[in-house]
Amino acid sequence: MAVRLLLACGSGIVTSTILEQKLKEVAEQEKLDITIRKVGITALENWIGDSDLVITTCKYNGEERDVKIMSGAAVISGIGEEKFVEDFIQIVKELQGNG
Amino acid sequence: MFSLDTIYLQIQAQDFRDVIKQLAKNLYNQGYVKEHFFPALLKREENYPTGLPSRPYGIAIPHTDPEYVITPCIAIMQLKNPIPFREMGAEENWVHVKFVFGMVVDDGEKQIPLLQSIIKFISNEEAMVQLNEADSKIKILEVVRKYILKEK
Repeated sequence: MAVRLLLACGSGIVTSTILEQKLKEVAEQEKLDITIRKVGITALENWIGDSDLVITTCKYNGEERDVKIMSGAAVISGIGEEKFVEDFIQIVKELQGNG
Repeated sequence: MFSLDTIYLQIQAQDFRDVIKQLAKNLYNQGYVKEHFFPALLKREENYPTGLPSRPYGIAIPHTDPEYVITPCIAIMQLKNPIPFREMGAEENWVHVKFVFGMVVDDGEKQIPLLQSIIKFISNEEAMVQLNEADSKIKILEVVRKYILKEK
């Protein structure tokens, strides 16, 4: 089963689009099976139940969920990007292993 | 997307709210955005900050929903003195911002290559040094063309 990613930023347009491109690149290189949905942060609650991993470029202040939530801000600033990509690959592989 | 009339030099401001206000006011007066762009942009910056800790100085990329956009553009605002913005994804941190890239975009998909090259540009320290040394609108546009639009 593909790992279902939910990307969220303020409006679901600018930073989540940049994040999406990066993650697609990584997924292709690493042969990760993922699907991506982009939303504005205010719509996050509506989709979180249908997701395996949430990556946001802004702080998520909602209630705690079973779903793993990561910050993707490093992809935007470029600072700490390598570490983020490593973590991302590991988490997706773990999720795939469990699925 | 870049043009001389949306490059603003040596802007003096009290704080990030004032920067956002001046940016929005200019863009509104020039017909790029609708009337309620300013409150929307400010609210977004307050709730979901866009300061990026790039080197050698911080950058902010304020933006808001496409519904307020009339003509898409990327505005560049050079601040006379660094102004603290909250950091994207880490609100507890403040970033000292010298350049603001106002992302007036209406369609993320269509503008993917541009957004990506802007992000690359921002994380390129050499490019940021050159941008900082540019002392006229034309020179800023030249740096942008060199790194973002890849035309020399």
